Amino acid sequence: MIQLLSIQTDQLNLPIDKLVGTLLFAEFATTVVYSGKDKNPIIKEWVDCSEKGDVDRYFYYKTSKKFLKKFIEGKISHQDLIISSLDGLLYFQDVKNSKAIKDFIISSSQLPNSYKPSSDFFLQEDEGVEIKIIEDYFKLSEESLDVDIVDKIKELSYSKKNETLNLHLHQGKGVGYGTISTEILGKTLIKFDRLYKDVGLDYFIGKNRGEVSLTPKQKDELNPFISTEVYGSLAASYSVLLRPLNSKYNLFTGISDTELIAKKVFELISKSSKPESLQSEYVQHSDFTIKSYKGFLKDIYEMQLDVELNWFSPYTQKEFNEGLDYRSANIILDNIDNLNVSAEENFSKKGKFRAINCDTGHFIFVSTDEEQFTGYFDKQIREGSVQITFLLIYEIRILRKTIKEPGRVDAKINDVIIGFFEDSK
Amino acid sequence: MNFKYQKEIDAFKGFDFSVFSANERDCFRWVFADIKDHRNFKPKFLLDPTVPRDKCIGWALSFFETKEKALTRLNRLTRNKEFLFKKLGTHIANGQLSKYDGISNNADKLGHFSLFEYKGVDLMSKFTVVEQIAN
Repeated sequence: MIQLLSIQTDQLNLPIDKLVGTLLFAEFATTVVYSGKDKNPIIKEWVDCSEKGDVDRYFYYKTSKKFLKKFIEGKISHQDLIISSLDGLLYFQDVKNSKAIKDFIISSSQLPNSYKPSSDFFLQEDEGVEIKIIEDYFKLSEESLDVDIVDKIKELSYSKKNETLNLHLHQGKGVGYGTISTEILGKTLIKFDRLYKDVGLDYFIGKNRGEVSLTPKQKDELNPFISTEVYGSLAASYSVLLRPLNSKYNLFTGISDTELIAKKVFELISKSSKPESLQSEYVQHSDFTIKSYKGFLKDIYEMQLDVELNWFSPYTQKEFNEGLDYRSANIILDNIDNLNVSAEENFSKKGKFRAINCDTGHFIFVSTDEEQFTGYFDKQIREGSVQITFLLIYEIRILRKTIKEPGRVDAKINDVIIGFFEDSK
Repeated sequence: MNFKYQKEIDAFKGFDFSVFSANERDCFRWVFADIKDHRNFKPKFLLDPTVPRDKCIGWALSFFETKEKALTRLNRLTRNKEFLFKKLGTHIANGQLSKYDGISNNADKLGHFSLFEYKGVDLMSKFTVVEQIAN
């Protein structure tokens, strides 16, 4: 039998409640359906045996009633049914003389090809063994296969094993059923990508970041986590499916960085529709993010789009859903323009001064991580600035005042150095 | 006459044997290269002891009406489970069932039928390997 890279366990670790019936085949029961304690199907597959035939290898997986119904009705292949395992895992068991001799777990994406049914293996009419018993037990006739777009995204996320961000353009100039103007799609994707990246940079670098031009090293490190890629589209009117290029999971919370970034994007959209909630949300983001958001909203307004945004993780089962149309985009743009926010923050940065005007106290400072800060020295310490050397590293303490006045398009950021120290060992 | 697995079959009181009858018929079965291999004429409940023994038919043997149908079906099954040859057989054997061997039902659309063997029957001696289908 094939040696598999796996996690060994001391038992099957599946909440099996009872046997329901044999799905395949009449000649030899290779695929048997059980019911889990939550009344959802758990399927057992025979896949291999030793040369003498005395050790059999099986794997079990959790599936949904909907997936099972789809397979029975010939709408998905057997391979899709297996790969769409709800928790992404296959629970293997080697059995000799009716006794389990080895239990182990692998990811459904790691199933060797020789253990997969052929990709074009769909259940044929009259091929199933106890279909009626299985259908009746799980009440499959009550399961609707008329999936809406959110269900479709969930289904795709499970089968592709990735988080999905759906940008669904319902209406607008150049938007048809299954077609869309290249220019409209391109503009919308670019503006959304900019917003996503800025929220990502806020997450990784901090909302108090300066103007960031990433170094090649930073690009290599950060880009995969703040970038997305298109992995599919749906004809409904026109839906683009995006996924993060890469995700890092927190071992303790089980939540990915990209889930937290998506959450921030959706919170910004959700809370910006009302002036009172926008006030508190505004200060949670850098001005760069707000600018990107405004760019996205302006395009929606100008192209008279109706956009639905959905996000789903197959790992945490979290979902975020929001909608924007040109009317709501216009209201949010007004809300942002009319916002009256004044916030103060204190933070420190290490780096080098690039320019200082000793008369006015104006400075340009570039931090060690290549962020640029401009502003003025506080009057009380301005005189000391004459002693600053451009070659030395300094730690500066910045008092940042963010002032967003009604009628002003962008927030005004005043960075004032309230302390500086030469960096010494 | 008693069946080979009479004790086990007795557990299924309501099983409908009326569609089964004793017949003379030419038939084909998946087997391993050596016709005397102990796995060759075992019902599926014995081939896979983990399968819940909840249906009487699991004590019957599978046969096909023609070699082509036996081959087509095994090809179909192994497109689903590549290693099923290791369990069901790598060859096809042909034999003539007599009415003293057991009772069988009519073949289904796939040409498959089931036989409940009578006690004391030795099918190994009645079948000959006719074709290799896998290594």
